[in-house]
Amino acid sequence: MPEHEAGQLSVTVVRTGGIAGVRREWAASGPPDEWLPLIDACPWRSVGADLASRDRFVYRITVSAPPRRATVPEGALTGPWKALVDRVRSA
Amino acid sequence: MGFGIVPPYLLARIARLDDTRFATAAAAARNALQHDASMRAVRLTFSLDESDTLVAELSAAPDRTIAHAGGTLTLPGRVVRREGQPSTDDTAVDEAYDGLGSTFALFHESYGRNSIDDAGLPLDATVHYGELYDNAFWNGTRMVFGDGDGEIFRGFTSSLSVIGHELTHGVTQYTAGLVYRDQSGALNESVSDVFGALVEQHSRRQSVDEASWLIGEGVFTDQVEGSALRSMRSPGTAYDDDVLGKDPQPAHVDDYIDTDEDDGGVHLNSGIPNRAFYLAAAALGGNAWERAGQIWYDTITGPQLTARADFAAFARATVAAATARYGARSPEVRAVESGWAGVGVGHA
Repeated sequence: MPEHEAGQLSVTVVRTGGIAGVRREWAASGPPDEWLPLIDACPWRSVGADLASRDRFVYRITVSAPPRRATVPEGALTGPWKALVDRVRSA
Repeated sequence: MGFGIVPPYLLARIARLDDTRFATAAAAARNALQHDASMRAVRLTFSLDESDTLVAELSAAPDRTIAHAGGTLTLPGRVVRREGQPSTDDTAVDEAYDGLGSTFALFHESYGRNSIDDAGLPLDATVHYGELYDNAFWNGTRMVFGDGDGEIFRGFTSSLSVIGHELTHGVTQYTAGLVYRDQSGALNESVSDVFGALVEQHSRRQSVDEASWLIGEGVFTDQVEGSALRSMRSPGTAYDDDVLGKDPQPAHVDDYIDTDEDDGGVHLNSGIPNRAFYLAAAALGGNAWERAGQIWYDTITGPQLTARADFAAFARATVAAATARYGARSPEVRAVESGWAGVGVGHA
């Protein structure tokens, strides 16, 4: 989790798996009102599964406050999940 | 004498031939179509016997289809090459096509397996998946290859061991069904590395000593300090780079990595059974796909292995498979036992 100023919200994305098995990590932070609409749009309580695929990426997405964490298989990384990861990676 | 790979549509056409000159071939083709529906593509070999009679023989052959995703995330993409069609001007398409053929050849020629399901399942692949996509994967029905980002990874079709690795996930899916989590998941990964390496060795006719034992050799760009994704002979030594860090694979069970990431470290802890296979193969010498590969193939297709097997259970299953095929006092059993001992996994 990156250092962040008081009142700032941070999001961390850790990508593991893939045939290479290389771990990558990205983080971003900012005012909660800029991030929460997208964060709240993600289905944190019903993450999709992908039991058939092998060697796809696995994303662990962590939000500082209110604290939330989800492990999202690449096959389920669609809609707001994908938008959130893309935003963190490009921050 | 000549031979050709006959796709199903051509087989049907041969079967319909009404010409006495080709009566034997037509009958053979009809036989293939009528009596073995699972044989979806065949190799037809013509020869003359001692009395100058034309002999037509049929054997299994791959039925490959390569699609082009056009840089999108949509599968399967547009079909660009089917079985029997000539090479294209697209390197990734042709590497995938050739790699699927080499993988089919290892399993068929060495173990008598007719494709992923042992019933002639078509081999489908998609190339040019996504933009700057740094991966290759098996989605349960097809192999999918990205082009890499050009900075760390080149395209993934350039490595025959990677293609063999992905297709072997299909074989495991139809055989042992090793659950993709923790130790059984690391075994699933290791089985793909084992046969991925063997596809490459078999294709190049390399012995144990001549082979690199690397997985994904050549997929890194020149900017990366590393030779491959993994080393089966020396797990943990494939790369050491400023950006990627050091190859994290353990080579001994004492260094097993407990983690929730990567489905429980399936791409990390696979180094342990990978090295066990290498040690067994090195103890036997010669061509690794013959005796060592046969034992691992017997293991994943045999009755003893369960889907949630851990390293010790897999080790026991390999010893049982070696015993069944070569005998309890055979050098093959001793080689397998020494392989597992070398990575600290008990098999008693």
